[in-house]
Amino acid sequence: MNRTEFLEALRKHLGHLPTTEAEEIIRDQDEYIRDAVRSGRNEDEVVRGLGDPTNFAGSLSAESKIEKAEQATSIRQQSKSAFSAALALIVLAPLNLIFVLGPFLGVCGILIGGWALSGGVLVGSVAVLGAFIVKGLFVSASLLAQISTLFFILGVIGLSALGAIIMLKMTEVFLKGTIAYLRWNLNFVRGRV
Amino acid sequence: MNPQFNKGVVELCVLSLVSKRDFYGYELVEAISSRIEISEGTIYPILRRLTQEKYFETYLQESSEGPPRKYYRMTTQGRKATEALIKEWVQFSESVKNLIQVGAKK
Repeated sequence: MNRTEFLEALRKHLGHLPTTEAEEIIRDQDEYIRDAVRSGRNEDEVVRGLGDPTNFAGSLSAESKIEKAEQATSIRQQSKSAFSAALALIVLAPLNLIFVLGPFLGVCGILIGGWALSGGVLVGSVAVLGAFIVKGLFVSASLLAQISTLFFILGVIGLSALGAIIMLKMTEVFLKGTIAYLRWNLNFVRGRV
Repeated sequence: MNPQFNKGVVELCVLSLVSKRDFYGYELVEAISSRIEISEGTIYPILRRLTQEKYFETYLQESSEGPPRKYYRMTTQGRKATEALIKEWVQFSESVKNLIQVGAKK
């Protein structure tokens, strides 16, 4: 494979990065290969040394996506970038289907469960409160029972709101952990130098 | 070079070279691979990351031999980090040396 072929292959595999970023990488590699050839080395040998363009591009784009995830400020941006970084890592090292996707989906399941629980109880208890205000749940019951029911409902609402807040924190921690793990995973995949 | 040793070591070499003067990519690879065995594609991802982390900044300079070259220059932030890393490395390698010598005497 010569310089032009390597750069073409690189361009193809950097496709999902922003154009300026991809073009910069291609420019840098072009410069590198030209410099190596100018110093008297064989072009094919230099290109071979750079390794498979698929891997070369794959690890650079995984890196770029992890960086984006690290710099993201909102949960939405973070999870979006973390997800595409995870995909890039799976493409780079298919075994990651087990090491990334498995644990990732597992923890996602727990989080979704937690959200569903706190969200469900919150919605349910607010609905009960609404019904209570409109109708009074136990019309025949004493005033004391009415009041204690009201406070019970308010308590449940408070607890589930607290649950939602805890879930939000947990989601943040989980995302941070995921991104740190993806970074570690990329370093591991690169492994030998 | 034993790949087990490599984590961070190549990065430290890159940092300490660029802390002395500005380098372009190939020049840096040549300088490092003349002393330790590295594969061709190792340095570039490190350069990109260090630039992203604002340890380096880059500029293009015309070269007499062809298209312009991208030079890497160390920032103040990078210099601070490099000094700290070198200090840590010196302490660490001293300790390892001492441990190996103690082991050899027995």
